[in-house]
Amino acid sequence: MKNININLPRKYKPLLFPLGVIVVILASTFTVGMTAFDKLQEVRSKINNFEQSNRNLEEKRDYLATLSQDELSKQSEVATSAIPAEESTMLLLASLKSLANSSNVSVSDFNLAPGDRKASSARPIKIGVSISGSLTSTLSFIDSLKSSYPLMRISKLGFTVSQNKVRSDFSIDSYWSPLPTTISSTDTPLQNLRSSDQQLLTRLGELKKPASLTYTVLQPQGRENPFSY
Amino acid sequence: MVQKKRINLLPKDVEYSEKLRFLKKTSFLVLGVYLFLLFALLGVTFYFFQTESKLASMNESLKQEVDQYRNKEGLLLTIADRVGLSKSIYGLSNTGSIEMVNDIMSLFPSGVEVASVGSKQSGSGIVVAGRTSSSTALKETLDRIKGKQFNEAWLQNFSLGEEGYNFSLDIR
Repeated sequence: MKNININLPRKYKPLLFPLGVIVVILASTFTVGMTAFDKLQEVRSKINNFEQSNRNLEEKRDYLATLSQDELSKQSEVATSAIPAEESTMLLLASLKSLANSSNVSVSDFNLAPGDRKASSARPIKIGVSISGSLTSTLSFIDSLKSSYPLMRISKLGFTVSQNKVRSDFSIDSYWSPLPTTISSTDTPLQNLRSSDQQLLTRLGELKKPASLTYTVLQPQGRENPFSY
Repeated sequence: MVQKKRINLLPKDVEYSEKLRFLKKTSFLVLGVYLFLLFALLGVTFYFFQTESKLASMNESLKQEVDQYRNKEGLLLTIADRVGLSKSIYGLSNTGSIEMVNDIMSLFPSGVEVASVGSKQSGSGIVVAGRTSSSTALKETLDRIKGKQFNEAWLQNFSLGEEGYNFSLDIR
């Protein structure tokens, strides 16, 4: 084995080993320190995230706890009556027929055309209705269209007056939209309803359900068990 | 001036051992500082990990508490969705407002027969066609239109026929 000959004064030779040890310690301290520092930064950012998430969760829990389940169910029913979750042409037909009857106008023509079914917002159903009746009845029909379920918008209106009878041609847009299917993760903050939203919800609650859409559940009559002899 | 000469009478080994002692002291000091920093780092790391684990368990229990209200959250989501959609529908202009129809009807005094009222394809403005045998009624109609706050009102297709004056109005 070959000896390494370091050209160093003899008196410094005993210092070589401790110096080496110090260098190794400093190097390892630097490496370990940097790693530990990185790890600490990571943990710190996790802590910040947890703190934010906990704040959101606490706010969400407190807000949800104050809401009444019954009230929310009622409001949800009102909101889905205004904009149904399904494209129901029968519902529209029944609704318009009922509105025409209650306004004392006669429907002479009725046609439906589906709108854009892939629309991301409310999907329209285009309805063409021709009615005839007195001017007062026609005005009452227009008014009832605006104040009944489901939400309808008159996009075009034309009327012809002859001998005190008004024939009106309406182009109406009714809307539907599927219910939201995904719910955000638990710690996502809630989008609270603003006061303007609450006002709109109250306005939707004031809309009337057309008469034919109000069902009365009949009590069963006759034999208790129809299959018994 | 006489220059004094200093002579170190100590043996060379003593001077060397002095230097070694100094190095030893410095080494201990460095070691002390090093150990202090190491323990401080360990302490901070321990504190951070403890805090993280405490917050994580708190987060879990809060999530469970919020999950109990998942049904309410679903209903709230539905309501917010429908309210947003309703807002966009209400934001669209409504052609057939009862006020507008009443406004138009109030333009025509007795003696003017309204033949037809229709909204334009572009969605802005309406066209009213009418007839009257009385020029006074026609003048009153025009006066009433002037009194209303319409952006524009154009008298179009004005003609005098056998049954009187025929006209159509383009109101915006």
